[in-house]
Parts: sequence; C-alpha cells; structure tokens
Amino acid sequence: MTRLPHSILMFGVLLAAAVTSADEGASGDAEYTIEGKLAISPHQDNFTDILEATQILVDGGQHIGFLKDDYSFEIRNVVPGSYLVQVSHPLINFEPVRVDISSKGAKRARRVNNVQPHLNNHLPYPLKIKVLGLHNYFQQRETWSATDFIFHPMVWTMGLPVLLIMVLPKMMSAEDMAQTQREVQQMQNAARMPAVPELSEMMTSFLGQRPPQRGGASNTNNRNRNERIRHD
Amino acid sequence: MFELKILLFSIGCLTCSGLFEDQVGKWDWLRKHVGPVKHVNFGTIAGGNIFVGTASNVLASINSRSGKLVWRKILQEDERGVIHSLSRRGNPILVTGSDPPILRSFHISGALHWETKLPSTPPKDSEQEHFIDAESMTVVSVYTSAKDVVVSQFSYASQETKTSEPISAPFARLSKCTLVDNSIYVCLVDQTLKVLALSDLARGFISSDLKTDASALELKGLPEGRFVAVRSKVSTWLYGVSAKGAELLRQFDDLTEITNFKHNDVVYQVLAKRSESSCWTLSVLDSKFSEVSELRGEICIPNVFSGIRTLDVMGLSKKDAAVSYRAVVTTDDAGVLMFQKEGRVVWSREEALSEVTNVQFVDLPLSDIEAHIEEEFTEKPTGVLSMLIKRIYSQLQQLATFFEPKNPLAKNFGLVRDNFGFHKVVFMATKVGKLFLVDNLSGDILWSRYLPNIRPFSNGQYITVTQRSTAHIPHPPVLSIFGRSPSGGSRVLALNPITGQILDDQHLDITITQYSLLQPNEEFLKGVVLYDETTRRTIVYPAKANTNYKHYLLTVGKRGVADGFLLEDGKIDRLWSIHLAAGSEVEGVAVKGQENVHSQGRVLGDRSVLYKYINPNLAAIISRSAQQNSVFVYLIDVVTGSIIYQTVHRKAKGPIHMVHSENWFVYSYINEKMRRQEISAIDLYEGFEQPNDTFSSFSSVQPQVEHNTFILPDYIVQLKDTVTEKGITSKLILAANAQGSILEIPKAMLDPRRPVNPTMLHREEGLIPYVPEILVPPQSILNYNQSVARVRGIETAPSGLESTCLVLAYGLDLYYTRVAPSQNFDILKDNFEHYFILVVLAALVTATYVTRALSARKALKAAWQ
Repeated sequence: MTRLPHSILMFGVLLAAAVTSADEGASGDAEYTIEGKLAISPHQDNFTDILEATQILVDGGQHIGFLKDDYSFEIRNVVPGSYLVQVSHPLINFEPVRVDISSKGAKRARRVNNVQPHLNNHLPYPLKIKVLGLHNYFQQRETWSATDFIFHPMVWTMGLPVLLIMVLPKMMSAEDMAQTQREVQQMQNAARMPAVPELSEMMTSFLGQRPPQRGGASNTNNRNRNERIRHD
Repeated sequence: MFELKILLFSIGCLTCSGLFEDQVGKWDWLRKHVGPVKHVNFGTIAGGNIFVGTASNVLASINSRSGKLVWRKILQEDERGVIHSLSRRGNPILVTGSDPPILRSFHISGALHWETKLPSTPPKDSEQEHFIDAESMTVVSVYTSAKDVVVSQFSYASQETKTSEPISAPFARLSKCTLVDNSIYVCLVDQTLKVLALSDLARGFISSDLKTDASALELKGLPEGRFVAVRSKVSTWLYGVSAKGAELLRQFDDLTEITNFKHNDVVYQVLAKRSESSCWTLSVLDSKFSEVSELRGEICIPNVFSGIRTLDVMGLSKKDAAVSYRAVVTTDDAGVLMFQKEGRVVWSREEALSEVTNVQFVDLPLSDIEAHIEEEFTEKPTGVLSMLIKRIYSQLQQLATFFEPKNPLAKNFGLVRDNFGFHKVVFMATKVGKLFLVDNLSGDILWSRYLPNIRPFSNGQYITVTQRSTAHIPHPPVLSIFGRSPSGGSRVLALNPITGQILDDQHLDITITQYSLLQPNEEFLKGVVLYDETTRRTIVYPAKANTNYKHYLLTVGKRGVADGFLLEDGKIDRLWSIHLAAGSEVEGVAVKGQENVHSQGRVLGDRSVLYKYINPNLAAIISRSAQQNSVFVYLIDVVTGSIIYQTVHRKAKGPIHMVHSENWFVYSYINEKMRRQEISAIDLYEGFEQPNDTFSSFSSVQPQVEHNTFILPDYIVQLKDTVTEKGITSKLILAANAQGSILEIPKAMLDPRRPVNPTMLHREEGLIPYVPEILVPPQSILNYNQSVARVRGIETAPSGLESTCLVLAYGLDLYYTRVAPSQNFDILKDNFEHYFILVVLAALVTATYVTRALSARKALKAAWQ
C-alpha cells in the first residue's frame, strides 16, 4: 500500500506522455495502438530468424503483431483494457509484459505477476521487450568421465574396503611382519610346551577351583597374546 | 523463495521425461502447412520465392523451386485475419479484415515493411472488396450496399483517400462484380455486362448486352489487362472492357480455366482445356489472339489430387530471351502445385492436411507369417501330419525372418505390426473432404482419397468409428466415417483403413448428432446406433446389425437444457431433464473415453487406501453465462440425472477446454478479474470403504470431492490426457498454448489434494505442497522448438508398451511424437551401451582365464618350495 502514491504519480506522467503519442484513429471508436521494440541490437548474429519466426501475441492471439526489420512492432485497434503481450519465438525466451490502456488512452506497462496481478512493477512504455535467454528444451545427457567415476560414492564404499584388504597388509613394514611371525612362532612353541596352560584350561581351573598363584607379569603377557591372536 | 526453489526442484524431478538433444527427430516429425491457397503472388524475381495468401488466414513465402515453406505470418483466425486481397507481383501487400481493413506490406525477408489502416469508413451494411495495385501502391476499395456502390481509392505514397459519391447500382449486391486493371469495375447482371470506369465515375455504369441466351453465367476478371471472361457450362467468352463498355473478343468452348499473364508488356491469354482424365492442355494466345505454338504445354495433375480449381500463370524469360511460363494450380482438394511449361511438376503441397478435423490411430495388421500362425488356430483340424508340416513350415519361416536384418525402431519397416506397437497408421479426415492415411513413424501419406460429397457436420467434425479392428484376421478391418451430405441428410462411408478400399457408401436421411457402438456380431463387426437430436430419431448402421441394445444418452442443447434418454431397441425414452444456470450457453461436454484404470485407490501416508470414484456414466458439462459473467461446472450422472457436483467461477470466461478421465476432471478457463489462465482439477473419491466390484449409478454413494485451482502463465488452446495400454503409467495432461508449444503437466501437479501446509503424512504420501502457479520448465515442452501453429486437437493412443503413449497434435500443422509419462521403465534406454557391456563382459571372461592360469602357476611354484 505504501507504493500506491508512487504508482499514481507514475500513472500521471504516463498519461502526459500518451497524450502526445495519441493515435490517428483514437478519435471516434477509442481504439489504440500498443507499440514496442525488442531489446536486441540489430546486428545480433546468432539470432538469424527473429524476423521470420517471431510472433507478437496479445492475450494469446486475440491481437497479433509483426516485427519490422528494426525489431519494433505495433498492435493496432486495441480497445482500452489490460493485455498480456507475449513475444513468441521457438528458441528465444522473451519477457512477457502486461499493458494497461485506460479509457482515456493512457498506457502503461507492468511486469507480469500472475499470483498478485495488481502489483505494480513498472516497465517502460513504449515496450522494451527483454531477452531472458535461450530456451533450454533438452536434458543433459550423462557423459562418462574419469573424475565422475572417481568421485562417485559407490566407488568409494566399494573401493575403500578393497584397498584396506589388499593394501594394508602390504603397508605393514618388514619388521612388523617379522615381529608377527616371531610371535606366531612363539605361540606355536608355547602350544608345544605343556608348562604353558591353554586358555580354556585356565578358565575351567579359574571357575572350578582356585588355580595355583602365578606371577602378575606372565598373566598380562598371556592376555596380550590372546588379543593379538584374535586380531590376526 | 525457498518454497519456490523446492517446487522447481520437485517439478524438475517429476518431469524427467524431457528429451535429450540427440533424440531430436528420432521419433517425432512436424509438417508445416499454410492452408488452402486463395491468392498467389509471384514475387519479385522469377525463380525466387512466391507468396501465397490462404483461406486459413496465413501469408506464406514458398520457395518456388522446392515448394518448401520459407516463412509464414499467421493472422488472426477470425474475420479480422481474412485475407481479402494480395498483390500479384513484388513484395507481398495484403488487405486483411474488414472492420477496419488493414493494409500491410512485408519485406521478402518476412519483416513487416509498413502497416496502415485503410482510412475510408465503409457505408453502413455494405460488403467490401479491395483490389491492390502494387506498382502505384494504391488500393481500390469498393463498398457495395443494397442500392449503390462507393469507390474509394487510397494511395499509400500520398496517404490520400479519394472516396466517390454513391453511384446508383441496385444490381451490384446480387451480382458478381470485379475490378480489372485497377481501373474498370465490371458487373455481370443476367445477360448484361455493366462497366464502370474509375477515371470517369460520374458517367456511371454502361451496359453492354452479351447477346447470348445461356444461363448460369459466371464472371471472372483476368489478372492482367482489361479483360473479363464470362463463362457458362460449355462456353467461355472473352471480353475486352474499357470506359466505353464491353466488347466481345473471342469465344471458346469446353475450357476448364482461363487466365492470362503479362510479359514484356504483352498480355498473353492462357486457356486450359481438358485433354485426358487428369491432363490439361495449356494454349497461349498472344495480343492478337492467335495461338503461340511454342508456348503450348500440357500439365498432368498427379492422381493424388483432384481437378483444377484455379490456375495462375507467371511469364518469364529463358536464357535465350524466349518467353516461357510457370503455372501454379490449386485443386478442389486444397492441393497446390507448381508446373513448368514442359508440364513437369516442380513441387506440390498437400494443404488439405492443414484442415484436419478427425484423427484416429489404427493398429497395423499382423505380418503374413504371424497371421499364418494365427490361422492355424482358427482352421478346422485336417489331420495330424498336415498340421505338423504346416507348423514346422511356419516356424522355419519365422526362424528365417528372425535372421533378416531389421530394426523394430527403424522408420520404414513395412505395414505390419512391430514388437512394441510403436508403428501405427493414422487415419485423418479433413474439412475439404479428403481422407488420408499417414504412417506415424515417417509422416508419409500412404493413401488419400477425395470425396466431393461428404462434409463435416455443423460442429466442424465428422464421426469416425472403428467397427472392426485389424485383429480379426480373415475379416478386413472396417472404419466408418459419417458426415453431412451437401444434398441434405448424412452420408456414411465404410472403408478398410489399411488399404483405403471403400466397402460401403450409403446415404442416410437423418442428421447424426450422436452415436454409440453396439456389441459385435459373429463376424466381429460392431454396429453403430445413430441418433438425431432435432428429430429424435435413431437408426442402426449397418441395418442388419445386432439390434438388441440399451444405451443411455445425454443431449445438451445450446440453450442450457441437459436431457437424459434411454435408447432401447429403437425406442427412445426421456429419463430426466435439467435446466442449467439461467441464460447460460453450453461451452462443452466431456465424457470419459474407453480406457483402463489400473489402480482402484490411492495409498495415503498412514497406509490406508482412499478409493477412487470411477463412474463410467459421469459427464461433465460446462456452461457460461455472459450476463452473469460466470462459468458453471456440472458433473452429472447420465443414467440417473443426479448432479454429483457443481460449482461456479465468477468473472470467468472461455475458451474452455477440458479433460475427463478416471476419477478426475480437469478444465481450463480465463479468470477475468485476475486476467490470467486458470486450470482447475476435481478429484472424486468413494472414501475409505472398498467399493463394489461393478459400479452401479443406482446404488453408488455420493463421492468426496476435492477441487483446487492453479494458475498457468500461458494461454491454453487445447487440453488432452495421455493414455496407455493398461493405465498403470501415471498420466500427463498435454496443454497446447497459444505460442504453439505442447506442455506436459503431470497429473500430480494438478492434484487437488496438494496441501498448503504439508504434514508428515502428506510427505509420506508424496504430495507436492500447493503453490498457486504451475511453472512448466522448457524441458517439459513436448515439441521443444517445433512449434505447432493453431493446435485444434491432440489425439493420444496407447502403444504396445505400457510406458509409452503416441501423440499427434493437429491444427494448421501436424506434429507427431511419443511420450513416456513415467519414463521408459519397460524398455532399454536408447543410449544403452550394448557394445560397452559386451566389451566389459568379454574382458572379465578373459581376465578370469588369465588369472586362473597365473594362480595355477603360482601354486605350482609354491608347492616346489
């Protein structure tokens, strides 16, 4: 609502401008002309078929305009009212504009807002139709590329475990390997020695009756060894 | 803003059916047309582009060597766009419309040169004719009223208008008049020529008696010089006209057409005389009316076109400065052909296809081998051995064809059914009375047939009925077309759609307004009940068809009364009658087509099922009242006449388009208050109770109605839904807009249950939050940049694959494509990497063998250690 005075002011200015550009035929039957121009420079090379293929549609073809070779257009015999001016081209996306013509012939242009049609977003009149870009009708085809493949999460989830299985044993340095081998050897030796009790034996003796007391150091050693076995 | 982003994202996901750039033209085609040619302009240079003005209100530039469309300007479809006159040479200058007439000049490039309103105001109740002189840039307008004529001359160069006083001519209104040489106005009144010289208007009309007693005379002004031709059934008289009156120059017999052309300031008369059934001899007379023998030619019209309607000839100089000419011929069936002097057809255009009224997809028959196998099951058994031999033979043949190189997706693959049911033929009927069969993969015309004595009914359409499909092998398929007969009554033509052979041609003495199919007889032929609303008569076609039937019928009068009838074995009973909103006119009626509905309900977020209200007897009627400025919507059960739902849109107007399918109804209208296109969706549900298996209008419950309206940023000119074989695939609404794009709007976007404040349950169900405006991304434009001008209808048909639907949009242009509303879930993608997979598999197999050998060697080595 705070915008209202501003828009009235603008309306007044436009009224003054429109009186000077009143039509020749506006005298009797109150029919007006909508004028405008496409805001593209005439030397634009990549738009070759604009003059042939462009249609200017007012209210979906109620009135039709044609482009002149300077990209300007006029739509004649329009009675007062509010009109949607669309410039249709198969490849280029032009901004649609709403044009209001009052019963006195004052014209103004607004940005199209379908949800709040009474909102006033002024655009210059005579119309300057902007190019919003080219229509992108097509989906991008997925192309195979090495980076896509590498950064794909599936590749990571599959690849990492493989990496761990294959590479980690190799990453262990030679002394580590030697160490492990030594320990395995020790374990085998220990298994051969009857003096060293089995874990199950230990447990049964521990749960059944108190086992004979041994040094704390040998006990911790034993636990460590067990853990290592579980690891391997 | 954030919500909008979500919306855009969700649209993007829903309509992933967009095309890839390399699929352009792979299964779609566009045929651009201009309409039946009315005026010809031979352009600025010989061999350059020619310009035509057509009855479809199109100005087009056509390459005179290839016949290809260079550009076209599509004017308004109503009387404001009617091309009254087109200059004969030079840049195209044309007069369109009558209130007021607008004069436009275009560059050869297609740009508008200038445009002006013809300043003279026509006298009241007058008919107007306009004649353009391109050289002096003047337009002569003749306004004919009941008593007199007013001649007005407008010069573009000086922007001045000279309007004459009314000249007394009480005959002018009722007789044929023309202007020749932009200076002499000639009228033919009974057996008298009345001549008015524009240079001496005060003198009035001068009469010259024709001195003939022939009746039914016609007048034709010749394009060049001061010549008119008066024609009777047998004779043609060539008159020279001047300010002094008319003077008989020559008399010819049995001419089909007379015209003339000017070359190097000499006017040559061209006479076309039929020599054979489809050939015409062109004889050229010089200024002394003696025949120039070296300019004699013969043109033969290819048999896909009918006879000559108009002939336009352009003179040109050959390299050795000898005179030659080219002729543009239009035919009765809206064809346009360019001939060389030698009689060669340079190009031809089938413009009847710009006036398609009815479209029907027809399944192709099985291939001979498959038909052979089918036959085995229908034949009576003839002994074990012979049947075994037959079976082995046919299977050997099958094996042989299996190894023949063929690609089911390739374009021309014979007129037999393919594996996926993508290849069909399209039967089309046109306003001019020409029937076509078009191949849907290539767009080629397979056969065409011109019927001079059948025209569309008053609603602009024929009735086409498939009486027997191609599935019943020994019996030929039968497709019947019903139309208005110019002599009154109706005419029916039964034909084999594949071959074009006419099986039956009958005159029926009722005007058909509705029809319904009957049960097939023992030869699988379905009869048709035809109904005439005005006389309330009903007949059955063919007369010997099964006459035991019970059909319910809905008739909606223009004045807003809907009646329900029961047709039972030839008797007609009125069951109910409803007066729609006072003063409203019916804009349209939508009933459901024959289709399968796969899913009986919708699963909600809490895993309960909301059952659909699928009433096959439901009809939707939309009427509009001009005085109340409102649009009224009714959903009526045709059997009981009960109104299931009604609503009104205040300050709304047409054009109204609608789609009625399954348990929903979608329609579009223009909201005048908000000045925007709105599209409204109604969904009907029975509730959470499982309904009976078979629906009955008498025992059904009142459905729950969900109704919601959305905004579209474009003006809709046509709506249609996609259909698939089993109805499993979700539906798309195809909306053609004024720019000529066909938008794909998923039904999920037009779901009235879309919540404004989505809850967890809604999200679980997959409902998209409600946003008023439906923005259609360009990827969802079915015909990408192949705009289809003036879409009058969209026809959809299921293919053999559940995922795919065939679409043909017709109007001024024809556009065919296929669409997969839920993506191609039952077919490999067309970029499926067959070779890549083959290579990978081969590599894996070799790798297996190589590693096996390697590991064996390693194991051996390890064993030796």
